[in-house]
Amino acid sequence: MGLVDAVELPQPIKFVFNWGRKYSLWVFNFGLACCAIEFIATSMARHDFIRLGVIPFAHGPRQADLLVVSGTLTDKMAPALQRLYQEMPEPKYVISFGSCSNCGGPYWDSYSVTKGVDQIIPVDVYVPGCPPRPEALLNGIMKLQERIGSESLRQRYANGDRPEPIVVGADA
Amino acid sequence: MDADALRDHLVAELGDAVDPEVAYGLLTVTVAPGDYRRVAELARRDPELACNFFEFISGVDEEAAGIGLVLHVYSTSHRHHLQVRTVVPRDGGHLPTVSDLWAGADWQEREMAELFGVGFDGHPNLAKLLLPEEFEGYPLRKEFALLTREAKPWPGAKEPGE
Amino acid sequence: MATDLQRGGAAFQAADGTGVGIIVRDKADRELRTQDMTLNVGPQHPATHGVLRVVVTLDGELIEDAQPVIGYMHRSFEKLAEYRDFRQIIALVNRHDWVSSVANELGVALIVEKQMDLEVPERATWIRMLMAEWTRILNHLMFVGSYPLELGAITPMFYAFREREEIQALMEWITGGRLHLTYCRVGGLKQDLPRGAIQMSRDLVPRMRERLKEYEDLVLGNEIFAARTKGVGVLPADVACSYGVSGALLQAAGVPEDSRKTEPYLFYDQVEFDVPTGRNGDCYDRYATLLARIRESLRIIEQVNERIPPGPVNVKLPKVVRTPPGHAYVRTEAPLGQLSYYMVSHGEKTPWRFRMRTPSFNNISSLPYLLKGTLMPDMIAVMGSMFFIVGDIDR
Repeated sequence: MGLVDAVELPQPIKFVFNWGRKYSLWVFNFGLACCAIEFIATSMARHDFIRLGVIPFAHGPRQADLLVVSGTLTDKMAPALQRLYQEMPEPKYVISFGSCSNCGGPYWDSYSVTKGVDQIIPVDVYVPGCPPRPEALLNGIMKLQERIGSESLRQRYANGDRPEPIVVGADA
Repeated sequence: MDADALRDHLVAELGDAVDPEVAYGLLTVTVAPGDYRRVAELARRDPELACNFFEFISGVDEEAAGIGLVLHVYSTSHRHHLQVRTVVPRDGGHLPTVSDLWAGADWQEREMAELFGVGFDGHPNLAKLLLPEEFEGYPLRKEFALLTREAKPWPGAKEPGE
Repeated sequence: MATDLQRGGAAFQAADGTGVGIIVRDKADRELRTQDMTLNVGPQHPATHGVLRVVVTLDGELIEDAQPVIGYMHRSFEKLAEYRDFRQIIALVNRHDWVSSVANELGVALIVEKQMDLEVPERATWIRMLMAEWTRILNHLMFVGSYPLELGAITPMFYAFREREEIQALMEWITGGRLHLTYCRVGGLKQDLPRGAIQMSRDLVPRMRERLKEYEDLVLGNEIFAARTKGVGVLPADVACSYGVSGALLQAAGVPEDSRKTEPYLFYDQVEFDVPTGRNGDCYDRYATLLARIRESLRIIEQVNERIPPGPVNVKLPKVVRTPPGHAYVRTEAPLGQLSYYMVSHGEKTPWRFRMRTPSFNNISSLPYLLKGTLMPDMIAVMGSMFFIVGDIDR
């Protein structure tokens, strides 16, 4: 692919690279249900996430770095999610916002709901709640940014293995 | 008209084709599937009834008796509600459509067709509305089991204080 | 341009089966063949609220046919309700019209109380009215902000969410939740109002009023907004009733049909308010009706604030809440329109059949009628003015 993924960057350059990446995450709003309202509220004036470096809203998946799936994913919608995820260029991160996208949530026994988006796409951060508070999303974004700050792109592309996903509130 | 006056009017018009019942202030007339269309047309066209507002069509699984269908309409000028109920057999049950009387019935009949498996004769397009194309089965029938519930019982407490 | 050509020429079917079109003749009497294009809008689209997909057939910019494809948010609530008792149903049902949770819960509590013939304490009913009206304002503010956003005005969205945050702070003070409150219970409420809640509600009313004036001046008075919405998407009253369209859309078409006035529930017959109606039934009228409804809700809240009596807020229920066998129907005026529940009970603690007739389902079913013959740029104006929530459509 490129230089970045063939060579392990020395620490000062890697720090700057990752610093640039983590504070300019263009977020693709895959707002499905109620959690989308809390997601939009997080992007608005009171709990603004643009001050954390997450920029609303990418105009399409091809210009996005971060996918926030908020709301219930149904079996009918799942192919669309899969396709849009595949359209995003690497490096890309996924935040699963809300309990419906984490695990099916209150619709755990429904015949038409996919029990968790991690059945379709790999997830980096799980933010539990129904709906989670905007502060929880900000916490999840900050934890993701910490992880991006120490990430090695070469390892990400070469090995293809992903680290354990972060669960917001698990270490409380 | 209130529910009792409505009932009297309908019995006067249709005789024993209707079986009226007033519960909680709402009139429900039970008719045979053959008379369903006639009663619906009367509700729409009769100036005393003037039911111009379409509320809903709902299916009800009546187990051995079949699949019940309830049509609920309202009149904005006379401010009364009317429910027309009929029961069709479980296999191959079908009713005439009322989507030419009320445009809102179009989608509601589609929904009931896919969820209960009831046919509607004369409907312009009975394609699936809410469910994906590949979905098999009629989910709102009682014999359609929720697989997740069968496979895995609810892990937490079932009543508060347990 | 379409006006230069003779419209309505002979139809033809393209030889390769790719579609239909018309043959027209231009001013120089040359034969031109156009072909309709099928365009897919959604299910993921920046301008549609949520996962609604519309398949439009276009002749140039003119929409020949528009078919909404719904079901991308079908979470099978009606089936799930048959496995849940009434507390769990209340907790689940407020996730349908997801910007106004109390509106959904209220109908469930009312229908169970109707079937069980429960007497709800007065204090609980007044507080339910208060919460229902603040929830109505919350819901309307969402659309007050997002409708101009779709037309290109970005600022009202921020203003509307500022208002929403203040009201949500009041909701959080009273119930502990921001979005899904689960505040109503069968027989009353979950808990009483905390200290200072009424005073917060009193202080919020004049602030909302003056901000409402800002919206009316800045948005309704804006030339571009008026040009894009006046005369667009006219829904006549008789067509609206036939589709079952309700709420602000029906009132904008000139029909003063509001369940709070025609069949008062709670204590709506003891407070004074009007039902605003529009004249033309176009997008402008719908938005103006929305703002007028917020104004009327503020009037109701002002009166309710002064009338909440002391007393208990719930009744003692049996350990297992069972409804007697039978069927009942309850109709409420949710912010989006007329929300009704029809419940068939066989005497158990879970309902046999729980039908939820949601306003957005019927409102969106009128989209094919509305979009036929409009131009593509007007499609977003019309769709946004339907004020729908996808969870309300698909349940």
